[in-house]
Amino acid sequence: MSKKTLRGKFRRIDVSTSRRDWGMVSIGNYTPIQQIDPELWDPLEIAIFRTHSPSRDLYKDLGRGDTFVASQRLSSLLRHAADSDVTLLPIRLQSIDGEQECQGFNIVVPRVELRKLPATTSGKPSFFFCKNPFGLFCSEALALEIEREQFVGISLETDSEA
Amino acid sequence: MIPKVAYYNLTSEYFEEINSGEPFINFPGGYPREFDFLSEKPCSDNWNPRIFAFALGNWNRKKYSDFPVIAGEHRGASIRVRKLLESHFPGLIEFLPFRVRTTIGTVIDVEYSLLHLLKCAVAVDRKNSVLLPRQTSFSRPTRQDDCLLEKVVINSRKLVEPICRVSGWSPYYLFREDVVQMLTDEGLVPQRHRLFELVELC
Repeated sequence: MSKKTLRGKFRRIDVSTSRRDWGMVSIGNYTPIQQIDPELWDPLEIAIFRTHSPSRDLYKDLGRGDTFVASQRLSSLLRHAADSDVTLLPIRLQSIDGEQECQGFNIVVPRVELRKLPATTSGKPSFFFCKNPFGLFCSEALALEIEREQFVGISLETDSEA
Repeated sequence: MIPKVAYYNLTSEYFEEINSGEPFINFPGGYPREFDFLSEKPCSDNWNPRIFAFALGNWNRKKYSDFPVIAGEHRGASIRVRKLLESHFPGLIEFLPFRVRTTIGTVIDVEYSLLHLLKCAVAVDRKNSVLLPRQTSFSRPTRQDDCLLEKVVINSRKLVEPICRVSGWSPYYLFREDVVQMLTDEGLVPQRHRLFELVELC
């Protein structure tokens, strides 16, 4: 399968960065996210934002490049459009002194992890984690929905390789 | 050769502790990194004493360590240690207080501070020390995580302060033997002090 054929079929989801804000948070619980039993997850768990009041819809964990935190609005879209492919674990986004708190954020845990990008989109998950190329990927259809909603702080790359 | 003066290194040994489930502290987002702990200038003007660090591992105990394990290169101390050292050695250490809570927000009832050693001895014997592979000079490191030396020879005559760091060898927090003895006598057993074995006294 050539790179050209795959282009646009799946898109890598990442945080977009700016000089002021790298879109990073720190999740306090350091258990690898894939090892967490969603049934045992405590919704009181905290992630820390450092730059300024959260204005993004997507953040990445500073310590783990494969773990993302989504706003309530983005979480709702994922729940609606990719419910069978994603688990959302609620988390409180707080300032480092604990004085500001934003609720409604969720850790995004893809249920599917693939070793490489699928050759076709047919019957494939709309949302998954891929080892090579490394990253969180979604289908073109889901990417279009995300773009349509004009979420803040999300990058959707199109040049994914097989 | 028997050293005339012994120094001890205060080390966190945190990897071992983390794996054993012992309680340790983690600063979110590497918070203290934006402060220059190698500088002899105090950081407290910009320090926010209300910040929280995360308590990780098993904190279900009544007695907490006076020398908490902190992930990364920093060292911490309890309020008891702080009071003792501030009264006996004013100006040698800056104490930067912080609060501790679990990852679900339960505040732990401890009063800890990060240690910022304000005295840095230029004491590495360049002639006899050996640089790490790929290091080409003994220039003063500007980052906490710089560790330039494979074999360290220290000129003991330049270790004049009872508590100090050594320029060019940033991971080490040195406490003179009498300071360690004083902490021990006060019941603040410095569990994580190790004899500073690499010092060669001139």
